[in-house]
Amino acid sequence: MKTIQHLLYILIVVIFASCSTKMTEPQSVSINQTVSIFPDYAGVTVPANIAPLNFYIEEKGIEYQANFVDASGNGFVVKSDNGVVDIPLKKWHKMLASNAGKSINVKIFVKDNSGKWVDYQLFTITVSSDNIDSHLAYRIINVGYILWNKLGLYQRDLTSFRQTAIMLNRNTEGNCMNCHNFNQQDPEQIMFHMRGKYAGTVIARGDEVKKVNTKTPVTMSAAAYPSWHPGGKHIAFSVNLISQWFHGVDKKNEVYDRASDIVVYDIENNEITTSPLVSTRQRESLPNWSPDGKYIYFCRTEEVSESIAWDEVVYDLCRISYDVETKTWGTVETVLSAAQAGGSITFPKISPDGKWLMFTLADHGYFSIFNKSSDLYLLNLETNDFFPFPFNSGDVDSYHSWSGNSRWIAFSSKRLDGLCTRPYFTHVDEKGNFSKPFVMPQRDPLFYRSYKDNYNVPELVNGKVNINRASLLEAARDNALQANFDPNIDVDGLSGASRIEQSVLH
Amino acid sequence: MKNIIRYLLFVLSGFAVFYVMYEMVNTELIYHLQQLGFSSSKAYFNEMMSFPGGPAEYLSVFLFQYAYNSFTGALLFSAILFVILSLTGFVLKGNRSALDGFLIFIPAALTAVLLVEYDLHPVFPLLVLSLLIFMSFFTAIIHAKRNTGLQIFSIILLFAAFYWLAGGLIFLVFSLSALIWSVRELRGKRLLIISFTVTILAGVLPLIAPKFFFIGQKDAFLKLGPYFTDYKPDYLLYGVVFSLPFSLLMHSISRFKNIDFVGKIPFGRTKFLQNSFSLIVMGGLLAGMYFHIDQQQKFKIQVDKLAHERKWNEVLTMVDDRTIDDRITQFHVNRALFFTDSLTTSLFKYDQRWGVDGLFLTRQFSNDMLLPSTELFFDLAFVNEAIHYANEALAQNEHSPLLIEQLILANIASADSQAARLYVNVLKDYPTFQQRARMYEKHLNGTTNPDLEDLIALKRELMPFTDFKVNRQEPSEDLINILIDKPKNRMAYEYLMSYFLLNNDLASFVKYYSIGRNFSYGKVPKVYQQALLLYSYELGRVGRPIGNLRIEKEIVQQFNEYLSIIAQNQGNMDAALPELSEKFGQTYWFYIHYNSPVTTTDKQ
Repeated sequence: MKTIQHLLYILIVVIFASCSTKMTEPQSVSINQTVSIFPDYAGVTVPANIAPLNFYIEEKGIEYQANFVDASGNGFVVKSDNGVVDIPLKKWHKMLASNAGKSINVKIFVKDNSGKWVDYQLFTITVSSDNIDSHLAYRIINVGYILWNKLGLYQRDLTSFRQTAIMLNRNTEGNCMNCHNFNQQDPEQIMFHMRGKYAGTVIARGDEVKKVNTKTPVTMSAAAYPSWHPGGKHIAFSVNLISQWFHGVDKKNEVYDRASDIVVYDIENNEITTSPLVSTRQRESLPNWSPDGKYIYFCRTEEVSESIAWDEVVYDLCRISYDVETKTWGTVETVLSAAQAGGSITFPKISPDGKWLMFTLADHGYFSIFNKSSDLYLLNLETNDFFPFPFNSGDVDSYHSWSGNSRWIAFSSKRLDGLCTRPYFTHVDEKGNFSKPFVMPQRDPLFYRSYKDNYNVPELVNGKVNINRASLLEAARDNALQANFDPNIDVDGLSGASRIEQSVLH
Repeated sequence: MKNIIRYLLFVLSGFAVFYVMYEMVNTELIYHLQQLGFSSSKAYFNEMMSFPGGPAEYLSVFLFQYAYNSFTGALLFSAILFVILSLTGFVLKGNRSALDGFLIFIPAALTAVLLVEYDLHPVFPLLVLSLLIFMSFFTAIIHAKRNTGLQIFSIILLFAAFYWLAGGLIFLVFSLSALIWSVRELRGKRLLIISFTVTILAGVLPLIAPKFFFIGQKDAFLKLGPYFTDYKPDYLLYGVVFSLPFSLLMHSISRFKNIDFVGKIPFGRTKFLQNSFSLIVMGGLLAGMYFHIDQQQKFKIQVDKLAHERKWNEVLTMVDDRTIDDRITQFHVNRALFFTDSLTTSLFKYDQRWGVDGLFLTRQFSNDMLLPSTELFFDLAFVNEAIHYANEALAQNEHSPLLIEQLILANIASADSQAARLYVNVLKDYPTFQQRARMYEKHLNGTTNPDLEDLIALKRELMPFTDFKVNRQEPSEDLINILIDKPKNRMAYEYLMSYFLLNNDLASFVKYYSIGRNFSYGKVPKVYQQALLLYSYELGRVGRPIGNLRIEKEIVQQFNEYLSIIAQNQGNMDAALPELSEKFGQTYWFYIHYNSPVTTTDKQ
């Protein structure tokens, strides 16, 4: 019995020693070098509610120690024998909570083969006093261009490492699902498209879940790229005839629209409407509703023409006012032309405070996820000044979404390996100053080095999506409700949607 | 005294099953077809544990690794059958009568027949096995002389565990089996309590499963096997699944009615009859296995595997003069012809009835063409397209180590070391491929590997550098683009020429034919001479003869004879067919007249 007691004491001592709050430092020699860690979290700014930034020390050694110390000298130590710094969740959150608006210093010690410890230059992690929305929703999909098999919409609790499914295509015979979107980061108001056998747009508002067939006889396709009206009763979509082709030498493929228009779907009246102004022979796409619900921002380019080479197609940023109550359209204004921006503008997203618009700028086209030239830019909607995100990478930086407080941006980037999109977060202050972004932390810091799927369309959500699973699956497998086209629109008067030549359609 | 002959028969039939699986089925072929790699990654584990039936699938894929080697694969499958047979005996409580002896064979025999199907997902035999294991636990719990409360608690745990392990339908089969067994074995109040518990669990567990797992109600009750598989369950599979409750039911009826026709007469209890009966059952089992092997599918997989292993002479030997009735086999034969330097001489030794679709598979999209197409594009040093198709293929079969390896190679060739490293790390998660992954990792870290370096150097030397739009419908355009950059890419050249010939496009053939000067053919290849002669002849007929063709006399004589046979039949091609087929069946002339899909489609 005593032996067991002794063993228990030893176990408790070992547990405490491996993760002690006592800030011990080994006798070490300081080397004036920055430590190499993966993912690179040195110098990043994080929200106080983020999960631990576990990392891997990429220095050769037989033992490792990471000391996390705040300005008051409080902190904790994480020891490791394989370089993996697995930060205790509770201590991490406690430290972040008490250091909001301040910085934490991280000092790394490595014991080499001869048994001597060396320490590296400190690096800091700045804790912002601005929290980030608690969840990130995304689609997990393979690196493929034409085919897919297993995919799902997931959500990650950003305060921990917990990932749960929102919808999995294994329940709908492996069909494609895409374009998940929320109304103002609200987990209660979500939509996504289902393609193939169970085609339709699933729209959930609270407990009400329905599936709609948004393809009408007078629109060129089912609804594609979405944006909710903040009132929650309307969704602006683009309708697109999407095609793609492949390069013989460059790795990327080219996704482009043969035609596209903007429509607005009235959820409660199950009606789609449009305007001759946004259903033209030109290609209008990627709508984004302003937070006050008065304007639809969108991208627009010329119609397909043999005189415009594929790499010369560039999109302008435009907007049009639309009153959802009176169904009144305003006139199209060009907010920022491609010529002014110096490239093609895609994925406009306005901050919830209405002050900023983030967009992706690429050398051509709109489907930026396969285009290495894609970078993020910020446009000040008050001054119309725009500037590049200072932490753009040499690889794809593309889809982005705002947090509810307008202080955080989630974006997808291929900067880690040039192959797969990973979700990153960056802080932006009231003046538009950014901080160094960080990749979404994982429990296993080496996770991204052997994970071959994409995190697609990262959307910040201010809570867990809790749609009733049975209702969701029932709606998903049910027949779609056919949407009606607004009878008050003189379709024949439109030069776009209804009048695309058959040669373009096929 | 025990019946030693009968035991010997058991042992012998065990060896026979092993032999069938090892020699006739060859589990390596099953593995090659399905490419179900077992990943030891946490992500895969978590995913598999997240739905009912996932754990069984995970275990089955783990065991399936051993099918990668035909010996261990046959051993594994034989062991599964042996355990199924033994456990059935245990659950049925021995073989006291001739009918019992027959019934205990049913699950194992049906599973054995099922096992020879090349596209059978390995989870199905494992489900049968786990059904029997859990039935054994169930019987053990009931037989244990514990208090009823503890028994019911154990049953609840057992049923919940089995539901999670095996999923909806097989769980219902388990519940049914347990119910039949209980009715047979128990009496009175105990029967009532146990059967009531079993019935309630059978209904309640699937009913509440969607609250714990992301599945629909229908799947919660009726899902059988994996979510993402091409295998379509048929009657045989359902026969296997329901074989245990069927055997139990028959066994119970026979005991209830005391039916044992054979055992009632003295002769029925003789060893001779029992042995004969066993022999018949085992013979039937082996015959069932043998005749259930799809020889045509086996042949296709063998060719595909040999091509993957680049055993080109063996591909040609295997196909020999068999009629090729699928385009992927034709595709591999054409690759083999190139790699044995005989594409320009023996292209039409095969009837090539698939035309250009036997040369390139990408014009007709299907899942089974993805890996072969990836390999072809890598052969052609068309690395970008190799990566493209490998990614498409991986989307369909995300745990195929062969595909991951293709992606490593192609990304190394295209100097994308970051992507190559990612796939190396992915491959490291597959235990049977760890060694190869480390080999690639060492290469990426700078360790010399002459064979790999030579291969990569060759690809880089021959891959195009000027971008172009890939034309899936007209691969000839891609080949021309490759040749514009790399005129010394001999494979691109010969495939281009073959494409034109197979497409009856002699004008294009003649237009690009001269690129062949870049290669040291010595003399104009035989097939090309036949094509040139035909082209010259056809132009001559319309008054535009071309001169200076260096055609061998023998080929000219053959062509004249070919024409004379047609003339003898007054131009009636149908009438001329038998003689032309016999004498010139392996010439381009014959192909263009009789086999080319361009010609035959035009005729239709």
